[in-house]
Order: sequence, then C-alpha cells, then structure tokens
Amino acid sequence: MSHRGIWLRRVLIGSLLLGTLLIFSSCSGIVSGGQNTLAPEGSVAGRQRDLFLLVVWPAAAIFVLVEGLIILIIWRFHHRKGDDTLPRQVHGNPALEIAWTIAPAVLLAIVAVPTLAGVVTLGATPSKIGTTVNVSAARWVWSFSYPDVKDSSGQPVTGPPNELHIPAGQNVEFIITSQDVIHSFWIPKLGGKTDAVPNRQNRMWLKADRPGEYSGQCAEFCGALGSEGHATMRFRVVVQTPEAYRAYLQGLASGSPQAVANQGGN
Amino acid sequence: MARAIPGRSPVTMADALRQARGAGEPYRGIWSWFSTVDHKKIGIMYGVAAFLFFLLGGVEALLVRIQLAAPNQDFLSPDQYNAMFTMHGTTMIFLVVMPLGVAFMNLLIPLMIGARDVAFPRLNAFSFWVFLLGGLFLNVSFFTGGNFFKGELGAPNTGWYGYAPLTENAFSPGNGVDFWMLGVQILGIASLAGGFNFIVTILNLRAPGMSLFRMPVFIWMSLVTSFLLIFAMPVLAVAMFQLMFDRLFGANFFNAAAGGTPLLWQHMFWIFGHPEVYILILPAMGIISEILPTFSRKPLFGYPFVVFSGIAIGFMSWGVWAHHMFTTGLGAAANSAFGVSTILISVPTGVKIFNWLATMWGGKLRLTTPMYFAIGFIAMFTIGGLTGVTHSAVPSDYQQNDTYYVVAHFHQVLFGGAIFGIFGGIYYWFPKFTGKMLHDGWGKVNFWMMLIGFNLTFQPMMVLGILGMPRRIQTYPDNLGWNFWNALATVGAFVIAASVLVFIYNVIISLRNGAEAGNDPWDARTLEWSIPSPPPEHNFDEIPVVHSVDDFWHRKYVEDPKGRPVPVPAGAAVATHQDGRDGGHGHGIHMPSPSYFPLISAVGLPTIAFGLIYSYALIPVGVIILAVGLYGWVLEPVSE
Repeated sequence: MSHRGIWLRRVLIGSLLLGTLLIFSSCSGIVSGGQNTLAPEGSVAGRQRDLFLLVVWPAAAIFVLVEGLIILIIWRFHHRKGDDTLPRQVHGNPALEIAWTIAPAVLLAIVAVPTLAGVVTLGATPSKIGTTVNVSAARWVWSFSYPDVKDSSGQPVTGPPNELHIPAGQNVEFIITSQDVIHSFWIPKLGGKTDAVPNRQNRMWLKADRPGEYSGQCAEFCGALGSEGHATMRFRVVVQTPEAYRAYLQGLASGSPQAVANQGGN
Repeated sequence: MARAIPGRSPVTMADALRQARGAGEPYRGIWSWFSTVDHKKIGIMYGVAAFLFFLLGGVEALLVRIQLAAPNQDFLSPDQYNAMFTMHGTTMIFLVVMPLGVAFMNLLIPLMIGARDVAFPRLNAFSFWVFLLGGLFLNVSFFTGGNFFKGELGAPNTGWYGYAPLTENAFSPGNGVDFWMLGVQILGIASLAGGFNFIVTILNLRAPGMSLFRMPVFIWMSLVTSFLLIFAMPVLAVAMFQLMFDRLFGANFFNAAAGGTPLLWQHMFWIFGHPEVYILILPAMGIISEILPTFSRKPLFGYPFVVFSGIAIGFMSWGVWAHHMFTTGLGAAANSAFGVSTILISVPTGVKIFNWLATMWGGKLRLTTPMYFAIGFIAMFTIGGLTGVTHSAVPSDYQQNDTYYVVAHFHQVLFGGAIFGIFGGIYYWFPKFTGKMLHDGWGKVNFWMMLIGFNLTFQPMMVLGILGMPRRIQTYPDNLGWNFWNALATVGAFVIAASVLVFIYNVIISLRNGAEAGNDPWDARTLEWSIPSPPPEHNFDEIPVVHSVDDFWHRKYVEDPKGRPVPVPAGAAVATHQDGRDGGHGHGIHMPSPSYFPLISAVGLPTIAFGLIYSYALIPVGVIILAVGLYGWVLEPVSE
C-alpha cells in the first residue's frame, strides 16, 4: 500500500506541476499570438485582463490550497497495512463549517467590487467619443460604415468588407447589429465581444493604444455553407493615427477606397 | 468483510415469494427486460443504454478533435463538423450524463431508503423506454441527410443550445433541427416522469424511522435533482414547442426577419440550461458523498451543511441563467445582478469541497478505485469551480465568452466532476448489482489514464481560450499560436478513449471471473449493503427500521464516549434489526406485475414525432399507439 501511495503522490504532484505550468506559461505571456487576450493593446482589453488576473490569483491560491490538502490528506491518513482500528468518528464542527462558508464569501465580495465597477464603466459609452462605427454582420461577412463622414447620397461611408479602420488613442463607439442570425463582434487584443443580434442595436466601445493591425473574429456560431462559415468569418482591424483615419474616411467618401486602404496601418 | 445479517431466513422468504407470485413470473430471460418494472433492471438498462450513447458521443468528440489536431485541416467538412459538435453536446448531456444520474437514482433510491421499488414502477419503465426511443430517434437523423456512407449527414448542426434564429427554416432548411427539437422534447417527457416518480418515492416510501435528515446524502441530492427536473424541463418544453411552431407551422416566435425575438430563446433555454448543469452534477456529488465516508472509515463531515448547501444550490441555480448571455447586450444592471448571483452560487459549492476534505481528514483512507475516482472528482471539480468564478467577473467574461476557455470550464465540471463521480459510483456499486467485484488493479489503470487524458485534453483548452480561440470553428489559421495546444488536446482525447476501453475490458473480465462481492464488500454505511448482492427482486425480506443516519453502519458499530467505533457483538444486532413492525411473516410482499404497456405507450411518442417531420398521417397512428398503451396500462389486471 505504501509503495502504491508513493506512486500515487508522484503522479499527482507531476500532474499538478504540469497544470500549474500550463496556467503560468499562458499568464506570463510566454505564449503570444495574434489574439492573446492577456497581451492587450487597448485600454478596455487591459482592464479586462486586470480583472481576470485579479480573480485568477486568489483562485490559484485556493487551487493550491485544495490540491495541497488532498495530497497532504492522502499522505497522512492513508490506511496502513495491519492497522485494523477505526478512526475517531467526527461528525462535524459547525464553527469550522461556518468559517469556511464565510471566508470564501468575503473573498468573493472583494472580487465583486471591481467587477461591478467594470460592468458600469464598460457598459456606458464614455462622454468623449472619437468616432462611431456601424458594424453590421451577415453570414459570413462583416460590414463597417462610418457615420462621421457621409457619401454623396447622405449615407455613412462604407469601407470594404471584413476590414475595419479605427483611430488610435481615441474612444471608438461601435453600434452593432446583424442582418440574419446572431454573430459576435470580437477583437481579442482590443477588448471583449458584443453580440450582433438581428433587430437590435448593441453598443460597445474600445480604445486602441497605438496604430497597428489586429485580427477580429466572429465569436457566435452562425452556421456554414460549403467551405464558408463561422470559422472563416474573420476580419482585419487597421488602427491608424487619427489623421490617417480621417484621410481614409475622406477617401471612402470620394469613392477611391482602394487607394486609401493600401496606406492602411500607418 | 461480508457480514451475515442475523435474524432472517432468506430461503423461506424466497419460497414464500414464489408461492405468492406464481411460478410463471417472467423475471428471467430476455423478454423479461422488455416488460420489467423492477427498478434495478430498469436502472441497469438506463446505465447500459447511457453508456452506449457515451461511446457514441465519445466517437463524435474524437472526430472533432481529429479535425482540430492541426490548422487548416479538412478531415471533416464544416457541415459534418457542426453536426459532430452538436450531436456530441446533445448526446453527452441528454443521453449520457442525465440518464447515468437517473440510472443511479433508479438503482439506489429504493435500496437506500428501504423500499421495495419506486412509487410508480410502470411509470419508471415508461421513462426508460421513452428515453431510449427518444435517443434513438435523435440519432436516426444521421441517416436522413442523403447517403450516410458518403458523409451526407442529416444530423442537427446548430449546437446543443440551438440559438435562434439560426434554427429557423431560413437558415436550417433540412430535417436536422426538427429531429433535435422533437427528440429533446421526447427526452424531456422521460425526465419529467422520472422526476415526479423519484420525488414521490423519496417522500413517501422511506422505511420506518428514516426521517428526512436520516436519508443518505445521495438521496438528498436525488431529491433536489428531481425537483430541478420537474421545474426545468417544462421551460425547455415550452421553448421547443415555440421552435416547433416556428419551423412546422409558420409561427414567428424567434424569427427575427418577421419581427420575432431571438433573445427570448436564449432566456428560455438558459432558464432550463443552468439548473440543468446542477441536474448533471448533483447526483455525482451525492455519489462521492457516499464513497468518501465509506473509504475514510468516518461519517460525512457536517452532513447538514452538505445537505443544505445542495438545497441552496438547487434554489440559486434559478437565478444565474443570464451569465450565459453577458455579451448579448442585457445592459449594466442585469449583467451586475447576474454577475453577483454567479459569485454567490460558488459559496455553497465551495462549502461542499471543504466538507469532503474534512471527511477524509483524520480518517484511515482505503485507496480503492472508487476512492480514487472520488478524490479525482474533488481535485478536478475544484478547477472547474474556480474557472467558473472567473466567469462571474463580468467584463473578463466578455473576453472568455464563447471561447475554448468556456469549453475547458464546463468539461472540468462535467467530465472532471460528473463523469469522475459516475465512474466512482460504478466501481463502488457494481458489486452490489452484479455480485462481482470490478478488478481493482485495472480500475486504477482506468483512473490514471482517465485523469491524465482529462488534463491533457481540457487544460490546454483554457490556454486556447486565453489565446483567443473561439468555440465551434472547424478550422483555424496557422499563425495564432494555437497549434501546439490543439495537438495536445487531441492526444489527450485519445488517452481518455483508451481509458474507457480499459474500463470495458475490466467490466468483461470482472463479470466473468471477478471476486465474489458478498453483501457488504466495502464495510459500508447505507442500507443497500445489508442485503445480498445482487439484491432479490423484492429488495428487503423485511422492511428495515431506521434509527440514525448511516443506520447499517450503526448496526455494525457503536461509538464509545470518545467517538471511537466499537463493533457490535453479533447478538445485539438482532434486537436492533428486528424491532420492525411487519417483521416478515411470509405474507404481504406485494410486488408490481411486469407489463408491456409502458413500452407500447412509449413507442407512440417517436411515431408522432416522425409524423410531424415526414407525414401527418403517422400522427394519428402514434396517438392510437399511445392511447392503446395507456388504456392497457390502466386496465391491466393486477396479479395478486
């Protein structure tokens, strides 16, 4: 039994180490990628990352506590050969149980405060908005139009499909809807997602730190037809300096979007 | 360790029974299974059928993992892939974890409360047949999309949660969604019948002296689960009826193009769907609450706390549904409220984990296979609970929602939790219902492979979610850093599959050559261990009289003033056991008669469903079958 116990402990500790390694390697940004939510490039994503980590660290502590207790208990209390006696029959300890009910409740109350603050901040559009973008999803294309600049017929100018331009350093408001089924508008590096629901206009805001290119992707399953489908419903996000962004919109208005689009990313 | 219970003469009882029932009783042979109303046989059928569906759902998962093993693969077409993940989810939830929980409830509730059967034995048989036929009906859809062998699958492909308006005719023109909505509707009838049956059984058929707070924790969890079933399934039924009206009769409940409300579907689905999560996990929590005390050689630490936290979870599970919908634009007020309720529900769950740890603390742990799985449950379910708490931080969930992080989370709960608990339960009670022990060595091989496979499969998904991989995509680009983690998850899935093969091997060799179990192989605590393995059809020769929690244990041991257990001398137990009222005078054991009518009635339901899809002419046929079944059921003479 004790020999087996040693093995049990070794494997258990091994898998624990592996698990922790996985979690930590991702947290510390060893792994990076085009949609890594822990390597944010915008203030909204940054705030969401901070909140995530704020919960992850106490959770990790509780994880270590529980798994540590399991190992300790197996090590200390496993049945030893030849021991035929029974342990003391403890039925409970109300004081202890009330304590371990209240302790996590208090811990969670602490988590609740920044959570609620975050919901309110991210839920309300900031008073200073740099620009607004209308996002319209349809199977399996993203369309972006920009009400800041109108075309000759008085409609917001529309860019090429699956290509979003926004200015850096400014709050950008998105008004999101869908033409058919539910989709979800998501640029992982810049912030969380908001669903595109038919007959509904959902609002979301983001702020990109600096010019650059990011990838966005539909996050709500929306079906498939042939080789097209939810998985291919991706889009390119071009974050530009405010000046370049204005120039891009003017270019769209004057009807030469391609020429301007090619300078995107500056 | 087997202990004869003195003071009874089983041979005489069996003789008396045979006289009472007549020799022609079809309790043996294959046909007896079709007409049985015995809760043990029904429980075994539930378990076997659900396990076969588990293999099917597992194969679907493997196909999904093969497709995702590397970027830009086309092992499955998008349509096939979508059918696979839809059927995997629907199967594992409605055809595997739920019915496995029900299998345990069927097998154990009467035995643990000292009853001879459930309150409505024929309704119980009806539940099983409806479940089995509903599951088969759902899977028939695979063959309705053209040539199955060319990969033309007719199966539903809109996800197990079927978000409108994708499920509307305009976007899902085939029959797949029809099979899904009608199949789940049929399965709901089975769950409802089962839920009512278990509630009535637990409330009314407890042995003398078994007050509510002397019931085993598994019975408590079954009771909470049954209440969740009878309140949650009707919500799903209404949603499915609305969808049915949309698809078959041109209504517009969810049809956005005609002004319908797609989000209504989400609210209704998740008002069912979140209690459903606890319907899946509470029976497993009950199972390990029985296993841990037995092998720790100590009573459950804080029985009332564990029971009340289970009840609290049952109530609170109704107030958290919108945390599935944080990104749908509910607004700050709703998101805050549901964030807080989600935080709150983690408290009673945490309490249970500490109570289980305290149960083991100070014990003398016998590290048998069931105990391995029970400890594995605590270790793995804890991870699922903690990742769940990260979702309650609403703004952080805006990132994680619909990513692989969520997939990791609910598999930690439903595989690391429910499946580990269920496997522990199988290893624990297999001897009771077959008379044979499952091989402990192979059991541990099974455990370690499953544990390693589980962690290899699902922990990388946490990383993938954090790296921004959305769910339900059948292909992904090469350059996002997802390749390694996906490959790892695929390897893990095959390790899990291998562990299940080890389990099957173990069952086969143990049924053939397993050690004899005897009445009480684990020196356990609850009433089912006081009777032979497998139990006789009537369970208890004499209905036991219960004096405390873990009554059977206290027949074997008393505690001295310091809390040390002392074995009861052989003669003393007789007195404890025999102060019963109807102390077995050879008459009065009335067992329900077998009946084919539950099966006949059940056949009516899928017939009606086929009629709704293919030809309304079949509907009256189904209705007639159902009516004939029910009339026969009511009018069938009772053999006495």
